[in-house]
Amino acid sequence: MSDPAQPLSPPAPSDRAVRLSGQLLGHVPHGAAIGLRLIDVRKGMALVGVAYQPYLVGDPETGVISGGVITTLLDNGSGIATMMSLDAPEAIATLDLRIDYMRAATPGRDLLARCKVTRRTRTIVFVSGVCFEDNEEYPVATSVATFMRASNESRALKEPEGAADRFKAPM
Amino acid sequence: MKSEIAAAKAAGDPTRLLKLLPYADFIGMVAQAHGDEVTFVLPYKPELIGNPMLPALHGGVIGAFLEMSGLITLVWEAGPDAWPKTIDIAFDFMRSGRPVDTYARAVLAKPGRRVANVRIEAWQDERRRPIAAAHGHFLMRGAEDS
Repeated sequence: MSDPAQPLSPPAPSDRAVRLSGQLLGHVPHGAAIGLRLIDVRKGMALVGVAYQPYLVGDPETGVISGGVITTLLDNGSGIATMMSLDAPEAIATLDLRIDYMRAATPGRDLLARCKVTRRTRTIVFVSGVCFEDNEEYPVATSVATFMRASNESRALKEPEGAADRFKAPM
Repeated sequence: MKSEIAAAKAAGDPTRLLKLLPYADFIGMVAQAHGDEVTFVLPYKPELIGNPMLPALHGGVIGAFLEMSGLITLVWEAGPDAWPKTIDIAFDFMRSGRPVDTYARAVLAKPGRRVANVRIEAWQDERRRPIAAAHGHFLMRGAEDS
């Protein structure tokens, strides 16, 4: 079921991730630029991944992937988890994101991030995330993020027809 | 590492340090030193967009830009023997990043021997209307290796 055009070593994306990938991630140019992939989604949860590539390196002496890439992975994963927690399409905005780096990522290895909504209120969604190679119990980094809901409600009314479809969060 | 910093400082060109970081180069970051202050520039390009509907820069890109601005400022000012490592960093997103050039400056709030506390702010057209800010701790290597 995985897309042969975008290889990533295991795990292969779930059927649901393949089906929703275009909708949840297909419209994010920087996601495409770094090769961000959707591996799995459930209600209030997203598993995203990025393949190791030389241009993503942040430490030239060790070849360790940049913290900036991990930021993008956790920010985007947390955003998708947030969208997957909503009952209807809504625009969202990151209010803040904190990342703790437990250890350096292993050079040459792909990274995964699992992000879960911990609490959803009428205005705010709280999300925790963990970035790892293959063992969630041995994280490279952990994160907490808060998102504002309906961040562009007034704007949404003026959007061209069909544009809002991109923000639909089907379960 | 030390000679690279010395060469970049002698040339007064912090962009040389950014060129050593593949991901900083990939997003297109450059930097200019004026007096004792370094200003970082993230020239707009379509690959940096996260939300094409607004459109808005990707939060991850803004975060990476802030983090690497802090890192390079730390290296530029403190001149460690090896690249510092990020221990933790917290980002606040105040406004969406419009599809224009973005700027950042960092301040070493506490340039410690083992751990440095760095504050970074990013803005676009108006310095007084930041789009995002960050504060983070960096482990200074050379003095102590982990």
